[in-house]
Amino acid sequence: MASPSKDPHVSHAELKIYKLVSATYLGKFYPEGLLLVDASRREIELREWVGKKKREQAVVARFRLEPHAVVLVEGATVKVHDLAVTLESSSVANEAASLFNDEPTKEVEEPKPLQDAVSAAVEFLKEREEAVGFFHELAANPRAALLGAESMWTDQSDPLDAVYAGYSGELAESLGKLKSSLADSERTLGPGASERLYAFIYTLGAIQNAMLASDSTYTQEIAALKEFGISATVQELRAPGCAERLMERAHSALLASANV
Amino acid sequence: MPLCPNGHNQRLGLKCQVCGSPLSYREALSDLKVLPKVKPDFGKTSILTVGYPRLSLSTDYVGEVLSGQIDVRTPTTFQAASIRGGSWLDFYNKYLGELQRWLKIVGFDKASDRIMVVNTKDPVSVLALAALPKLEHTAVLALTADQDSTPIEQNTSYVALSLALKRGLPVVAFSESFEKEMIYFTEDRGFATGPFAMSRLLEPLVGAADDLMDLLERDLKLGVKLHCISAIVAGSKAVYGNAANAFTAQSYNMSVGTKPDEYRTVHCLAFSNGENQGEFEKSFGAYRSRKFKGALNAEFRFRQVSSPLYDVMTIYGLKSEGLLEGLADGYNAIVGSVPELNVDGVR
Repeated sequence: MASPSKDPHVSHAELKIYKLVSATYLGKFYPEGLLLVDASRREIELREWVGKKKREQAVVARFRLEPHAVVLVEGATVKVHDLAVTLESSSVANEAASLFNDEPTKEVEEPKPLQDAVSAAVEFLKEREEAVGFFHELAANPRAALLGAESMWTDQSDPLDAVYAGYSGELAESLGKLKSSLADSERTLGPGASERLYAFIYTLGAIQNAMLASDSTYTQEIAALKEFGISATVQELRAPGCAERLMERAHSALLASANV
Repeated sequence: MPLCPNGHNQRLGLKCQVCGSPLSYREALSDLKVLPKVKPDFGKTSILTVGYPRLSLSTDYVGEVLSGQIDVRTPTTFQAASIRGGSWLDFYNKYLGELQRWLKIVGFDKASDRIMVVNTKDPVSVLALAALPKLEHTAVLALTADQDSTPIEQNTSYVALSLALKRGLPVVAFSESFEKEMIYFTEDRGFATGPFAMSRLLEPLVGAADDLMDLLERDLKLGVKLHCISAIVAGSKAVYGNAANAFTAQSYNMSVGTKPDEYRTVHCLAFSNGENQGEFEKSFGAYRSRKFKGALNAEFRFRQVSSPLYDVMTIYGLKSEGLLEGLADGYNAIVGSVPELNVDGVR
């Protein structure tokens, strides 16, 4: 079956819904369910049937494809990220995959407050990442790091304390801007989406903090990301620019939760 | 951390792990302005050479203070641009604040033990000793001027040594002639002279920095600030026979010329395989009884090493006046012509 339909949760989008033969997501097997593809927003959603009579749907995963995400078709199976979906036939699989080959035909109008809040969050997290990078370097090579940050040491205090104070001051200022932007956006987005945004920003901050603990396995952070529908590896979390990339990946979920 | 409305302790996530209530991150967001504290490791032992070639030592940190063509600042180098016709006072006046700042930045005060190897004839030596913050567990190995040095070198050396002693730093002195004649041979590395020999001599001392500091600081409490040293590096039974001979040989090669009545303490640091410990200890005891009967304190420290060769260092605590008296003529000759170059010119 390949029947176009409207999804009640994402009113702006054009959706195609496919019945699954089976699916595997993050190593877990789903014998039946639905695949929702929103080509205009490059968004995928996997749903399973739940309830005694299997008449209700529950979202297993929802994520937005990055511009250069690899979508593979093997027979009747479409593979993308950690998701492998087997559809009714190879032609149906090809049709589903082809939806991602074109540029989005229709831009979903994103509410400006969300754009502003996300931009403020990215700005803050980038600044914080730079600070975390400095302290990471400080732990490994303290003399060179401190010499590089000499301009922050302007009084008679200990240079290490001065550098901490310098970065904390900068972050406090940036955090103030972020909070102000979040407060502004909440009037339009509603409390639910705002709470989610607060939670996601905090989680990204926790990932940055984990970088300073050399033995961190990121277990807690990876589990928290899964609650946002994002799967990530330790290597991804350790890579520079991680917060910005994860914010991009969470974008569609944040947009979907917005009260607009 | 996020808050559960029912007060349950939380970790990351969207819902409370206990009651399933949605968590609030509004207040928790302020946590992000604070970064977790990092405790940088500045190492256990820091070495700083001053006006002396950089030493090749396998220790946590080796830095240098010197004068050269231009100003250079790196994590291991503080180079002050040469001052034409400059005396120690010119470097002191121009660079004191900057060097104090650099020493703080490179965390020289953060290591557990510090050893400064200072060529006290070099004009930057006074600057470096003046810039050093008041620190415990810091010793100065001082290359000093001697009778063959010029009056200006004797003046600089006199001021640098006086400053180190005035600041309560224990000093182990090496005369210029001792340093020039220093030569060590090992089968694996061949002959080492000059700074290479100094590196070779310092290697075991750096490895035993806590023992060295302990001995020097105990002497300080007895009022003994100045020391000289004698050493056998890479010794063996084939060369010296028994341990007693190794001590006798050392008595002919002290790092500064001294008179018998100047000795106040004598200590030995021996680095050898375990089976020689008893013999070294006994021989040191005999050496002390024979030559340093009146010593206020004498201690023997042994470090076990796997090498078949041994290193033995004997450290002698001295009255301070003797060494300075030997430099006084040159010092006074300069002060007679340039009064500012007196020891009180350093704050």
